[in-house]
Amino acid sequence: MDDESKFYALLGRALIDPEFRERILDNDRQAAALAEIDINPSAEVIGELKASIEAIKSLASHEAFGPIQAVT
Amino acid sequence: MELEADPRLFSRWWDDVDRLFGALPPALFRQIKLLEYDLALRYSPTGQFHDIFSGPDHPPVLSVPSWLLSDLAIHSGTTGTETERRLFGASALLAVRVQTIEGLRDAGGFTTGDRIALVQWLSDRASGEIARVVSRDSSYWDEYEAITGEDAGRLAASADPDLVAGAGDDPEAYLVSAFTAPLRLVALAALAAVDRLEWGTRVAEMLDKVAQAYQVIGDLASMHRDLELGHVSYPAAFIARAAGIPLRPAPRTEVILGAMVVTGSVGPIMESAVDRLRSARDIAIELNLPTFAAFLSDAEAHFEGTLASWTVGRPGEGSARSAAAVRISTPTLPQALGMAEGFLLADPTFRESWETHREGMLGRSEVASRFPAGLILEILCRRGLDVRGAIDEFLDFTVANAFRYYDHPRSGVDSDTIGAFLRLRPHATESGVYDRTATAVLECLDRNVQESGAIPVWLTGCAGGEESESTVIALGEGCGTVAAHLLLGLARAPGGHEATVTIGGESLLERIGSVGLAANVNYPPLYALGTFFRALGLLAASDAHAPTGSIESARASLNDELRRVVSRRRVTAQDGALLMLACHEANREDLIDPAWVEQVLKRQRSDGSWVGEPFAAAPNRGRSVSWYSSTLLTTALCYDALARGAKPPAAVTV
Repeated sequence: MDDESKFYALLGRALIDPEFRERILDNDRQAAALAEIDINPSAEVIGELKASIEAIKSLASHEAFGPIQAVT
Repeated sequence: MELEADPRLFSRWWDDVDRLFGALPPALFRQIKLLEYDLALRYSPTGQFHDIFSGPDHPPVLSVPSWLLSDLAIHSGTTGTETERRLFGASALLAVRVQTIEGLRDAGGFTTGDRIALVQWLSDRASGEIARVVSRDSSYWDEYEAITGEDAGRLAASADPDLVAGAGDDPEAYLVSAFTAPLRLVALAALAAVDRLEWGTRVAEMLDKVAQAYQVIGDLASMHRDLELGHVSYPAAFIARAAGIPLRPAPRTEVILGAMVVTGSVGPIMESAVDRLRSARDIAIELNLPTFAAFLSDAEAHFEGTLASWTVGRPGEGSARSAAAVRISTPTLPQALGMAEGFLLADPTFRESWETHREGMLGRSEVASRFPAGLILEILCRRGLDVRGAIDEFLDFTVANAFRYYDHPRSGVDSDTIGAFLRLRPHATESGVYDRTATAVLECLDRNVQESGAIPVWLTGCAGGEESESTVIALGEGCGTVAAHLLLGLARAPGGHEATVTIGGESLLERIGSVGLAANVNYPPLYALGTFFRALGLLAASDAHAPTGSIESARASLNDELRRVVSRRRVTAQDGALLMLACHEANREDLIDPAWVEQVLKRQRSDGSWVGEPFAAAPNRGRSVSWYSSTLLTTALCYDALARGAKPPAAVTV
């Protein structure tokens, strides 16, 4: 991939935007989601994405991954 | 090993703190009550204020003096207990001080500048507690001066853009804990109280590492929010270095978070925190401080366990519950806008905003004007929200009420009501339905303007208005803001009212050119300023409506006013919002101070609203006037101001 920061931004958004994450993890909607943010869904990109998916899922699955919940 | 002090003593010390806070003047007490909750939310495992900084998840901010005195075997006897009690109080005061200052620096939080007095009180009171146990000729006070001076320097540097920009790329440069100074101050005070200041350097070194370790963990958890607010912290710098990303210009939030995933930096960052705990424990063992050593061993094991449970890509087997490595932060501005929309749309009649009179106006127990709801609907329309149903109802009522300001047959017909009708009409479900409903009142308006050469606030001679004109004292005549409101609707209305727009526009522009904001009578000056700029833009866009000279004269006058008002300090949310709106209407977004945005955001309540602020003078009890204010209207203005400055929804645009 010619611009590494583009790929970082893709993963960063996948981490903080659950709806976007769902789409890039869905084979049917993946290409459209990548195109939407101006990333060409090449085999290289898809490969790098697959290599990072587990890490994203792991981070995103932490129980407290989200705003503090408090009541009074 | 029992880490906490004797629970009975601990409880008595908390009683002292509670008494101290309870005796504060009401304004300070209210502030400190919120701080207690803030501290409990952030640092208490149970959510109770008295449990803050207990357990391995948080630095032992309140325990340092008693642990030191205990480990030095000087806790027995009255003197030791008194020293512990005083230094516990000082620790609590300094912890609250840290939270207050952190809150003041948090642009997305709710702490407002009026807490400066509290910071001063906390500083003074903490030093007072320390002075009760450390003699005035002790060399401790030299240390005290040096530590507090260094801490003040840290705060000043963090607020200085040049110094922040010059921090370089080394992650260590971004690792500064707000607890370093308080921990040192109370630890050295404990040592001074028992003549062991010679231990000070090594104890301070140990505590610095403890503070840094917890700072790393805290900064990692809050990294998303910090990045959103433009703050680079240790973890962000660590990730940037690992990924080869320069920190200047500041990288986008998503880039750092994505780089965190690719470089697998979460583990090494946590390990750097655990390493610091380990170093601190080694010093504790070297100094023979068993309570510190035990706590630090516990903390080390705790965070190693946490790390094992969420090592990136390899979730821990069978781990029960793990803390988040990085908390995802909801961006403040979109969240605030969503909350405000929820509040504004909760009641489609906007009843709370109506200017309601129950003092017996016009001989009736309740009289109301729905005009403010029209202003709110206009704002919601501009923001693209579907409020067609509410607009239909507003227009239907206005027609049925014969364009009177109040819902009473003796109320006069006014230009504000007509203006709101005309501005909202194009946004009705079927705007054509209302094409002819205003014909008679607009003909009356045309006659009024022709006769007086200006747009009146109250119309005379309209069919059905005779009773009002003979028996009612009409206030607020000659208001340029009302004229501007009307022109904004009339200039785009069908039906051949060009002459009225031209005469009214010319009159308004001349008045503004001559007296500036004094052309406004009935509205907050900042609101009038924005409205005047909006009307000016409309009139200037159609040169048939006013001569160029009048336009330029009015523009110069308004620009002078704008320059004047932006230089003044504004303290309320509505003021901040109105200033932003005026800058937008003047196409001078460059004048918008980010502090105004903060000012508005910090005052939003949990239901999405802002407290209603004075907006217009209104008759009250027949013999006087008082301020009309509305939570809905102030909220709409704050919402409008924030929405205009909001960026589009988050998207990767690389």
